[in-house]
Amino acid sequence: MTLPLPDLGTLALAAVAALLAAGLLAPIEALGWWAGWFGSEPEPLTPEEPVDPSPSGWLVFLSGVHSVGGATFAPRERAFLERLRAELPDIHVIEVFPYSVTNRALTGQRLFARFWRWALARKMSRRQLAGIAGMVINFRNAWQVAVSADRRYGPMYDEGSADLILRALVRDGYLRGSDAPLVLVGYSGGGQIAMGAAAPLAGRTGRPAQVVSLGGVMASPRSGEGLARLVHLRGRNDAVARIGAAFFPGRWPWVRWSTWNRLKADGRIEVVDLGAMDHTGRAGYLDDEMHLPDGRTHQRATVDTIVAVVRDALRTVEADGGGQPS
Amino acid sequence: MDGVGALVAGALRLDPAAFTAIASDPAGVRIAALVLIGSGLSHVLGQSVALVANRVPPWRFVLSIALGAAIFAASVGVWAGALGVAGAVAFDRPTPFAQVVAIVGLAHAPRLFGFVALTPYFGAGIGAALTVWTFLALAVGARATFGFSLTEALFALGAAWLVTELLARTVGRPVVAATRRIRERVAGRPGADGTERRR
Repeated sequence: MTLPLPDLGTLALAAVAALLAAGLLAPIEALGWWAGWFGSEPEPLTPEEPVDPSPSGWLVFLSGVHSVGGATFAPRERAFLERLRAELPDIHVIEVFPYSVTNRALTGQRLFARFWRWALARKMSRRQLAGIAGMVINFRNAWQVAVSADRRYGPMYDEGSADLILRALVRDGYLRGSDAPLVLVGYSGGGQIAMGAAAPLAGRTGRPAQVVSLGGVMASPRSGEGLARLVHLRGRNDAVARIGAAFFPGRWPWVRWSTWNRLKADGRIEVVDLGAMDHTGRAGYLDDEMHLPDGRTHQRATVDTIVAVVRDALRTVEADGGGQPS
Repeated sequence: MDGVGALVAGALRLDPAAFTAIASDPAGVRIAALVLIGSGLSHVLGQSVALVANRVPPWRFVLSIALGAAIFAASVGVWAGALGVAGAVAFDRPTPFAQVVAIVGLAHAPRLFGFVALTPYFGAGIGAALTVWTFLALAVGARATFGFSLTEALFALGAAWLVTELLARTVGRPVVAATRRIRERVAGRPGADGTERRR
């Protein structure tokens, strides 16, 4: 006996219901963390091992919505980070999984870890249909971006992100009160998380953070507090970043009173055109095969731009007479 | 129209027959109370972020939701009373209080989806859409039960709103203040219910 196949309408309705249910469940992790419903406090902030020599600064990379844990699995992203580390030998480049305020990888110690491992396997598969199944990871993480962008949940989620980033920094040898600049690089949805974390992170470190959004999908910030500078890198063929901007009314150019537009007018938000780059994949920001008219690969040009922002931040600290804490 | 489900479905479709059916149903008030308890719980849950933001413990959270739902149902009852008074005084259409409670309760069926306001980013918009949907259901219900024209229905709803606001800001002040104190005591934190103080 075979079961009848559901019609397309039923399937679409089921997909919408599942998406809505996922959205309703999305804030629970951040809310529970904030309210202390999930048990004890995490371990105290201590470095794992002494860092020698002390870096000139830190760059924290927050991956896009395709990620499942702290260390990226995407080959292009890995190559991009390797190049960034090679170009910035005096800077510590660390990765943080931005879509869990409790710092748990989707494939780690979770109730649905087996499901996420299955989805990751589909995502890594070269078969197109399986890849579509792997998109559930993107949807799950996109809802976390919406949580950060939400006026009700955002402040709590962003506190969690800042806590997470600070813990990763301290584990890497960062000393609170250090003048070494912090640059948060958020790719895609990571742009929203980086921007949201800037204010609470500045509250913890005592220094405003620099944020680089790489094709960031993000709302207008709730305030400019704790944000030294935001550089939004955007490719001309990046439909995802364009649709993302259209999604958030505070990003619309004619909403002149929005924080985004006010900071842009002040020069604290800078939009940089990276040329004919796409959001991801071949011809994306991290692709090392496609070339720009000036002969550089997309990845090379992206790294060059981020390196320039980091060097700029270092120069500002030097000009302010900053250095490592004693 | 038979059964609670059919009545709720009719109210959600803004079908006037659902409201005339509940108005003539001897169990109308009980059905309306059932709808109000469900919609109250759902609505209050949808507005519960302030409780979590104030780090209310889980048991206080559950109690606060239950209390909030009871207050929601009671406030709808007051609103029904105001609508009944507006219908009788302004339009000379006296209607039994039980009937008014039944239609006003059923008209809150869209609030059964109130919990969906918890959806990140879209929640505020969804909450506003539910408010409009409930208002339209009230208008349809008032027209079907009182025999109002559209303008009369809108006027009566506006008058009922005005009466409840006046009551809350005058003779009802001690009740509002006492309700607030109870909510804060249950939540364990001042202002944890997320409601604004009346000035």
